[in-house]
Amino acid sequence: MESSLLLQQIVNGIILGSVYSLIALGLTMIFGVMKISNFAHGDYSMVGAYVAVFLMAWLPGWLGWVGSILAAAAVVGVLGVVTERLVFRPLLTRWTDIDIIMVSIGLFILLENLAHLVFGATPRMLKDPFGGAVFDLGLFSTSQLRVFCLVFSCVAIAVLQLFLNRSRLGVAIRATSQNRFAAQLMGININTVYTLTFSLGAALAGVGGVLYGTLFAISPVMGAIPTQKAFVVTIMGGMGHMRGAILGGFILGVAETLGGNYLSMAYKNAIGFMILILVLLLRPSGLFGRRQ
Amino acid sequence: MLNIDQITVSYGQAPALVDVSLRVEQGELVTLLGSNGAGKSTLLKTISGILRPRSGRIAFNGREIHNAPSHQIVQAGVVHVPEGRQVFTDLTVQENLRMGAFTRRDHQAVEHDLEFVLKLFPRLKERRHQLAGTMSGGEAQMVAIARGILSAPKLLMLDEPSLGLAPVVRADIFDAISQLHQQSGLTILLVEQNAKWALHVATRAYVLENGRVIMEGSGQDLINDENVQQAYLGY
Repeated sequence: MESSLLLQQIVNGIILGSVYSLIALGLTMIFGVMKISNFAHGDYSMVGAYVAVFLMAWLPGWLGWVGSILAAAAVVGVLGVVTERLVFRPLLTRWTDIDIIMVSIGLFILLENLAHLVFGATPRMLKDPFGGAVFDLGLFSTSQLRVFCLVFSCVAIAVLQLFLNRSRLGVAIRATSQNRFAAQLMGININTVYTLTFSLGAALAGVGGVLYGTLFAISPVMGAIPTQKAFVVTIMGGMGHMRGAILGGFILGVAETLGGNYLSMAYKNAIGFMILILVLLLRPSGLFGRRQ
Repeated sequence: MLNIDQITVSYGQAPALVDVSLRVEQGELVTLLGSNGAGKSTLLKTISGILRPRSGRIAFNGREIHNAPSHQIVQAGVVHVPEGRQVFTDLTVQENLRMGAFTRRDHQAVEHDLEFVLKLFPRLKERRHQLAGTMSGGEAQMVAIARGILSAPKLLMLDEPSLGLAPVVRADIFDAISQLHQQSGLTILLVEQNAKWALHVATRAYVLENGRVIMEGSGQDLINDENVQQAYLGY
């Protein structure tokens, strides 16, 4: 009984963690390539979640769910391009990192308030397209929707890795994050890489937002939480490190669910920050980061 | 082939290059000498579009390039192998080389060039799947030059290719550069601190001092020049 509860919690943690990984991957990619710490990142998740709210009202069931994910990626990807071009690009060469962080916090406040205006303050829930069907495997059980979340995050992460490792453009993104100057000398158009990276990073957060919305309530102020989690995961894994972000997401998800159950539910959100403090004290460059 | 006409480049208020004119003709190896901070790297960065001249013109094969973005300059065939190698440390040797061919669509020719550089630097062949960041200075320099060749240069600009290398490895790099110029007929603009060798292989050479060209001539002329001997050859 005890061990089955433990297993159940670990499964829940892995599912939650896969969503964290997805959102954090977007953040860490943008940081790796452009050195932008974007505190508005979680708002891309919020917008993605609202895309799902509206689309699922139109298209019920399965189709609505899959369609929501694709639509969220597209809508938020475009929003990413717009914010990169209008907000971040003009600042990149002239402003310091701290300035850019301040601007991103401003963007966060702006997007949150716009969402209030457009969507209203009432929290919404996404309907379960599987009608609450449950997978029961004896030792633990979980809703089909959650299993789908996990599968989808893992597939998205795998596709992203394939893209970054195998495609010419993907390798160019990695090259740019490692050495911007040399990338320019290779004839890589840095501005195109920036736009592509930012758009892709935002889209990941958007898709993550839909999955997040299947687990938690959706509201205009929800963006702050994914931002915080993504930063915890990114710093834990090493800023700009893909594998760090993936593993870090799963670690945070499991640590939160276990901590929430065995320590106190009230401290669930604090656990991430405890881990963050420990990482900063013991291994400041992150689990995968190189020691300076 | 490359015509630089009175360019002036500044970092903020500080001028780095003043009225610099320089040309490189097809098939030449032109050496650029100068002490630290004379503006050699600044000149190469300006040619490759990383820095913009405040005034003056740069033309390559008759086309003005001083306002073109760097990726177009690479596509035009001006390839810059920067000081300090600047390899992509977390990419493998092979991925580094493929990034050199980033702008190219002629896949067969790329494969051919890949074979060529692996023959030029056999050591890279064994280490194709190693991360470039784990290599020695000499090997990283080989990656940097090989990567430059994969960009299909019409003009190859090498910035301090032997800097910080052990004498044995340095000889390998020098051999490779001579081979590229003499056997492959590649046009090269070379910045090199080993002035004796660099003047010896040069068709022509320039001396840059405090951002200005103070001397120009054939490699042999400069070797015989007393001032050059004192300042750069240590006689």
